[in-house]
Amino acid sequence: MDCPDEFTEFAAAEMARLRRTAYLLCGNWHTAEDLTQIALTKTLLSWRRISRQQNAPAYAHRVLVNAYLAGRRSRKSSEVPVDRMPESSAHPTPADLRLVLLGALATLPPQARAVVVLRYWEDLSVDEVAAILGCSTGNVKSQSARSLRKLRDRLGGSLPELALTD
Amino acid sequence: MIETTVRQLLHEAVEDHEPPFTRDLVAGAVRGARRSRRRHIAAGISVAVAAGPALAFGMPALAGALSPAAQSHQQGAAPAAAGSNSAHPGVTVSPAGSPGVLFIRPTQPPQRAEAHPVPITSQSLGQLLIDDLPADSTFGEVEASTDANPGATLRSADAWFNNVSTPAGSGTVQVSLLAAGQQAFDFGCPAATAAGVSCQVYHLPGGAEVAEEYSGGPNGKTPAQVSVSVFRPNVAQVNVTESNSAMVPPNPVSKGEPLTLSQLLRLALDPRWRFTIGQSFVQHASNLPVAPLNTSGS
Repeated sequence: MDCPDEFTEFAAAEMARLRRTAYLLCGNWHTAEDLTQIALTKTLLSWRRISRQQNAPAYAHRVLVNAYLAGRRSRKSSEVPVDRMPESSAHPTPADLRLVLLGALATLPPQARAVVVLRYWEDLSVDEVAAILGCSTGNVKSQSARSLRKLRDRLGGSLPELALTD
Repeated sequence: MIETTVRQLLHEAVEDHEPPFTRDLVAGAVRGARRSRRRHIAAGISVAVAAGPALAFGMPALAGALSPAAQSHQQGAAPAAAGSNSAHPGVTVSPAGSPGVLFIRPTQPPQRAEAHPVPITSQSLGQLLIDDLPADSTFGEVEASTDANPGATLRSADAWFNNVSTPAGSGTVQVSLLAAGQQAFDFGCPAATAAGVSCQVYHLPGGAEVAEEYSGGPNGKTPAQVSVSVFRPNVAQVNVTESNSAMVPPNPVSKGEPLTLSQLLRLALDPRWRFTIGQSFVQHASNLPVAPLNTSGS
């Protein structure tokens, strides 16, 4: 298997971002590395084709998200969604809030979680998210709205000082 | 706005407590791509075998493809290991293996420093592979490549035979080298082995690791694949894979792999598989005709 220098440069530049995205999708850094490696491997396998089209980053991200979704479909998740978040202190610290958000993300269905991560971490447009997930833009919009509503409900109690509106 | 809050918290969540990478993901991706390529090729071969008529297997003669130096070396080479697939000295049975799959506890051969080491060439890679085959092997053209740029972030080198025949069987034998750091990245057995896959890892003195993996091939209809990977810290990660299907039309599936597991293991553990090799060996191999690596599977 040839490994072009351009792929090495691409992977070195993209892998940190891919791993962060993967972490937000799956919730732990170890699995995030596995997902990142899957994405890089599949990107390398198709490198000749996708490098010509100059869309390697988008391709790698699409593979990453699909690998996450496929993994969630093929096995029973070890994450157990709960109705209530663990109790937090009366005056949550910023670190608490991040944990609450990550916990809230874990309660979302896999595709809804992917929508949130792609829209608000990757800052992708609705059209781009729909292309990655292979669904309609309407589906992305509705999943996005539903997910934000759930997150707002979860975070609302932790962020009384924020005016959370749709 | 909830969107702004979510966006801000997502960024803080990943950026504030991001751990360092625990392994070389780029090197792991290259290794994974190689494995995937082999499996893809093997799958293609099995389809071709299933769809096509039964065809007689004829191995191209090797003599014309080799230089006089290579031929004399081949003829003079001592047998790498005697025996057949049914007789493995010192075997251990894989605890999670497929029925009948035997692994061999490896023994590290003496590591000798090369005199006047120089960067390995594609001819040297091909010659090494020829040297490590049993003396009674016949084979076609050797394909090999090595990094043109020794300073590349990720170094790799390969030597392949797409058709090797021995009394034990016929198929492919492929060696891949990856530069190795301190850690054995993406090395060893998968966390969950698929059906028909057996794998076992051994730890050798000095930090070296050896992984033996067998996959597929029930009833001799689908290609089987045997792989031995050796990791030597700060030297190289070597992967040797053989299959009982030749990667040349009509891609026949043999009833046995060309090398016994002990022969494959001996090949993989040859300490000369590294990115430098003695200058005299490079000169010895310089006339070997070597084809560029064909990774297209065609």
